Amino acid sequence: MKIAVFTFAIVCSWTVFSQTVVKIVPLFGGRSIELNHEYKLKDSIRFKFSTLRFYVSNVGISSNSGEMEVKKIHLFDLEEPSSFELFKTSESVRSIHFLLGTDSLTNVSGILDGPLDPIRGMYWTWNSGYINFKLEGIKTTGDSITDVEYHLGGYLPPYATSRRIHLDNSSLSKELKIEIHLDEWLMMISDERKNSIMIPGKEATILMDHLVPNIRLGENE
Amino acid sequence: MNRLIFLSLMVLSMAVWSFKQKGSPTIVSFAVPQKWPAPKFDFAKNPLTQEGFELGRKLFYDPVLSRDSTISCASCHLQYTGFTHVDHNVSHGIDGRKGTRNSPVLINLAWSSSFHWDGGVNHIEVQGLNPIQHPAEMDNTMEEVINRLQRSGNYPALFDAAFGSKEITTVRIMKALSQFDLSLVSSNSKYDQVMRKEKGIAFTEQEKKGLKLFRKNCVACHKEPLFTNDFFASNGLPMDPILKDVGRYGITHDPKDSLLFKIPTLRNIEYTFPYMHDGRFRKLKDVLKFYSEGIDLKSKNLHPVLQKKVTLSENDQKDIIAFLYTLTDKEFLFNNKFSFPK
Ligand code: HEC
Ligand code: HEC
Repeated sequence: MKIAVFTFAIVCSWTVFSQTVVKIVPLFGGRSIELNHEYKLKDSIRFKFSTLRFYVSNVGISSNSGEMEVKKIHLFDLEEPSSFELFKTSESVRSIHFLLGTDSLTNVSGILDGPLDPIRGMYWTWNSGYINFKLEGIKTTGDSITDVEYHLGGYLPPYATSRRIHLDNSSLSKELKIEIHLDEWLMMISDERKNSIMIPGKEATILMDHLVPNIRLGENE
Repeated sequence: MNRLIFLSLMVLSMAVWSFKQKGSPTIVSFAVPQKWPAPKFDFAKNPLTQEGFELGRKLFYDPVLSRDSTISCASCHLQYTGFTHVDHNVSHGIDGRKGTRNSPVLINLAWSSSFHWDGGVNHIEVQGLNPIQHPAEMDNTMEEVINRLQRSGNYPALFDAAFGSKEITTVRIMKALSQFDLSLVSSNSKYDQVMRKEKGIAFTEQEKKGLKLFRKNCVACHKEPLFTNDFFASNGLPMDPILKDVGRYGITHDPKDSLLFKIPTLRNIEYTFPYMHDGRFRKLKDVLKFYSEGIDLKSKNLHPVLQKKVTLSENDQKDIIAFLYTLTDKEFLFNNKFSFPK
């Protein structure tokens, strides 16, 4: 009996220890972003973020045992530390793939619960569909201050805004970080783009396109 | 042995019965009128239940949904006018704030694949979020609505009856409201009775002439038996210079959709004035006059069917109106089942 309990404990702790944790980490200048903290983009441009929320869906991995889905839907919210962890797995992760945003079926399925509950402020009522990626804050350029509001969504072609992301992993680290390099993204878009995008359309798709290369896999050093 | 089987059957059915007593609401099957097409709404996903419908009806008539508890859904959707408002062109909401569109009728919505004049709402279950949160309608938040309903005396029990627990969520509120919306079926007008060949019911000569003219000029869009084909079209209505409503274009940003609006049903049209998305016509007479004289033939997305001028003499127009009156369904307009719950 004692032996059984002992082995059980060993097995349990082994699986816990051998689990890989995958987190989502938005970065600015290589450091984790905090809300309402001022960041310098270029000499004259500074940003403060008040909201950062986005959906990650249909999350799957490929490992030694093949392909598998690990999570259907996840809402990342910088205000909610419990949302930073995307999933845990005891598989050895070779690659992670997911949709940044929600899939089109989700957008036409009527009223939904949990992370998809419209109460979370990620749903457009007058033009049914989810806001896939929401960033709000203020931008200071020299002396002028402007609100930045990017509500990026829309599921109908040609202005669909969710994006497939595929990240290969060769590290053995037990903590993998899906890094979102917001400074690099803002650098790509800050000069020529509007400060406010609140509807589906071409602008939103371009911003989402630019986000894709700025999502990379990092590991805990 | 037989006794044993009998006994166990008894026990089993008692178990089923008590299970039903305990929390499972009574399923109501959605009746599709004879010879009508299948509904677009998938009832397998949100089955109608007696308790869900009753909760939806209570919510529909309850001003608690609006910020200052003055406006209910029924403020803009009155039953005896086909669930639309009649006193003004565009809807009036909280603090007397004016909207930009005429409230549509709520009739046979189970056959619609999109909602609102521009089709911006893609599912009936999410429609109710609009009026509750719209600043010119009820100007409230879902958090506040849920709070109020939780604190209220009888709502938790009604949610329990409809959904099996007292929990009140956005999903449950929306499902209940949509169950009420979907139940609003009008299929017992004189037109329907004639089509069903009911004894002693016949069109008058004028109504017959009207139907013929209707089938020639109108049915391409206002398709029988629903009197809409569930598509969008421009019927050549010139844009209102103040409201500047671009219709479907506002949703798709496709220039081909500029000035296209959802084709409305014409059921109960006698009572659903004013007409069109901005309520610009008060009388059916004005609508018929518009179709024969007022269509802007140069308007760029005008539907092909209307590009050839519609010619209707004054008598033709009267005949069509006489036919349209046969679409009035008093049983629907005055059905207690859909009225303020007492
Ligand atoms: C202030 C007036 C107002 C109130 C209050 C209101 N509505 Fe409406 N309703 C409208 C208007 C106006 C539209 C059309 C909106 C548009 O086309 O942009 C509409 C559209 C609808 C539609 C879509 C019908 C169709 O065929 O497209 C439904 C369903 C509906 N309302 C149900 C409700 C429910 C349920 C409530 C209460 C939660 C409600 N309404 C409260 C004015 C109102
Ligand atoms: C090309 C398609 C088309 C044809 C043909 C057509 N209609 Fe319409 N009808 C519409 C559309 C679209 C609207 C809504 C337009 C708007 O609000 O801007 C409408 C609105 C109406 C309305 C107002 C309904 C309401 O609830 O406000 C009436 C009444 C009407 N039509 C009657 C007729 C009659 C009678 C005919 C034949 C003489 C006809 N229509 C032919 C597309 C059409």
